[in-house]
Amino acid sequence: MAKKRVVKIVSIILIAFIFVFASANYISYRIVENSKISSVQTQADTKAIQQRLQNLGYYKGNIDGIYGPQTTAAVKKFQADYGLAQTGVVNSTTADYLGVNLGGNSSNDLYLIAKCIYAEARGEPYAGKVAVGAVILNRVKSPDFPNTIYGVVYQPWAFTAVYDGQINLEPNSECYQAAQDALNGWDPTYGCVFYYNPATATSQWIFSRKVVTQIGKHVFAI
Amino acid sequence: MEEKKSKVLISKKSFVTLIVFLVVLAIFAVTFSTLYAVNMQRLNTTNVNLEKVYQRTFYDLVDSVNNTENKLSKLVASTNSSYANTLLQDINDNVTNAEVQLSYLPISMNGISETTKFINQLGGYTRTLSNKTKDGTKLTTEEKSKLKELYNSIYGIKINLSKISKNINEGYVISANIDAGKEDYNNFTKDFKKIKNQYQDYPTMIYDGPFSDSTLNKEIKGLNFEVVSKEQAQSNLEELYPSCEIEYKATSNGKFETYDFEVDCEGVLLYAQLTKKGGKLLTLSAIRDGDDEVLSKEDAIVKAKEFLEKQDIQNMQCVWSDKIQADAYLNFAPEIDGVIVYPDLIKVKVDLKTGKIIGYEASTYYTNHTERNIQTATISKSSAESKIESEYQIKNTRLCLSPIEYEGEKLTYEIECTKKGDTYYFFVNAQTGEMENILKVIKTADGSKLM
Repeated sequence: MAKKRVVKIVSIILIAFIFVFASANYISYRIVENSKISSVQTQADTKAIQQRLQNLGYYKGNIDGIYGPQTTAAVKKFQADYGLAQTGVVNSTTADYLGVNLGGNSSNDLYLIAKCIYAEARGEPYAGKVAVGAVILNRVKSPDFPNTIYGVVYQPWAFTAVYDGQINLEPNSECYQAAQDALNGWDPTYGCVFYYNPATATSQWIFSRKVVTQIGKHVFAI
Repeated sequence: MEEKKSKVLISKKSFVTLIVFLVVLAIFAVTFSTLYAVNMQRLNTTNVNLEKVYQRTFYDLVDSVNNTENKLSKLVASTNSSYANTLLQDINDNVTNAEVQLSYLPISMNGISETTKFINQLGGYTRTLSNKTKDGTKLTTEEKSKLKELYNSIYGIKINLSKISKNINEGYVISANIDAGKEDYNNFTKDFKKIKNQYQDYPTMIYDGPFSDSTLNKEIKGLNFEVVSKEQAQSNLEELYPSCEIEYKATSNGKFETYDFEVDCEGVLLYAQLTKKGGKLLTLSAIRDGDDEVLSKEDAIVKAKEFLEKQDIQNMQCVWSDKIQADAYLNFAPEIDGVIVYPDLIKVKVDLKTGKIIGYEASTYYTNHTERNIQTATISKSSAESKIESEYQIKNTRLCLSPIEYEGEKLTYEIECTKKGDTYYFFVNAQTGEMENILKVIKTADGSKLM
């Protein structure tokens, strides 16, 4: 009986150990994965390529920025039709034939704003999403903040989503549309440069800013 | 005896088990510590590299600020306007670099927003002065005394930065405790905040250029109406969206004061903001129903015009249109006596599936709209077109009132041209014949942009 108990205890300890070990590894893996800087340019470029291929009738899949087998097949088919080497890879020659500007600045800005909106306000109503995009652009225009979209989004301690790695999640179509509206000049906040959730905000300083409006759970302030 | 023996036997067995257990434990311990050591090694390498980048950025910032201080002192001393112009451009370059370097350092905006504002405005001010002195115009006495004030502030920043440099030389690590997850995590960031505390009174800079305090608070010209009640605003909205449910959400008190409503039209939610003054629709935000395109861009233009006319906004012409997936983005401006008035711009977004207006943006319109006396062109259309180089093919020319940044509205000929498949818009002043602005259409995956 005692022997059995010892074996039992040892097994439990072992299983517990393996469990702790595995989950520790998994957690550290997740932390590393989340905090990785994603290749922004490539995904934005891929989207541009997919969109162009779709317009030309070569690609039927989603415009998701993922360079998967469907995209590769479409690129190969396009290359075949235009007498290019069928590599499935868009080099500068293929990009020229496609009429796609690789690394086009506007697409990258749109993508970054969409990611920031998704990470910060995916549960908010649509106007609240546009408002978050507008705050980013208002900061670019304001003298108190950096002068580029990347500078504003990646400014230290400016957005929690950049901190916890949520900025790297793939945005959905609604966040893209909200980002597009913001870039086209929509601003339901009339120039606000701050927003916070009054229920969860921890910084006392933020409460000293003049509140302009509330959309969904977010309060917008100047 | 027997009992004792069996006890020993069990002990022996459990001893074996214990050994096995300890061996397994040891293997785990070794694996863990090896993994830990490898990770720490990696982390250390990363930290060292990060620190290098931060220190390089910091010392670049010190250089930019020192150069600015040096050149500003020369500028204050100079009496030659062309030399002053060169110095202003150099200062502007250095200030632009300083702004970028400042934004790379791991300091929260809470600690450096005042300094960032000062640096940005110094850049805007020197750029404006540099444009002004290009043709030999001398700096005025007021501008000189403002520059002396600015010199004192930048000198203060310089002294603070050299104190921090000294500390770095003595062992400050910029990235120390960076993973602490709070804003003031080490002496470097604390010292940076002190720059603000010691030089809180950065001078106010008012000029016609980027980041000026004057352009930040633009006056609203187009809302000279009586304040209406929330109920009146709601009934105005009902006229635009009959048979939709409208719910009051909030009142906004910013640059514009509005009543904000949510409109539910058969499941499509629209967020509408109507001005307190006059109960005019100011903005409308909504997402389209799906990705199907039933209507053409031309159909959308008709729908948008009807929507504008319902609000008594007349003579609007579609001056720019773009289709992004199933959204039509349309820009409208009034045409008065054959002149397109660009400052009074209204943006409309139409869902190409339903034909519903799902976006409206009239803040530019209400900011600028006013009764205008539009002057007549003194330069002929053909002489304006002669300003264009011959390799550009002219497609269309029309008169328009253009908002020229920081200078105001100017009557110009807008000349649409193409060259090698690219489209350009040239704006030639209709009174002086000078080229005021050039815009190029940039095609991206997400539609065309004017830049």
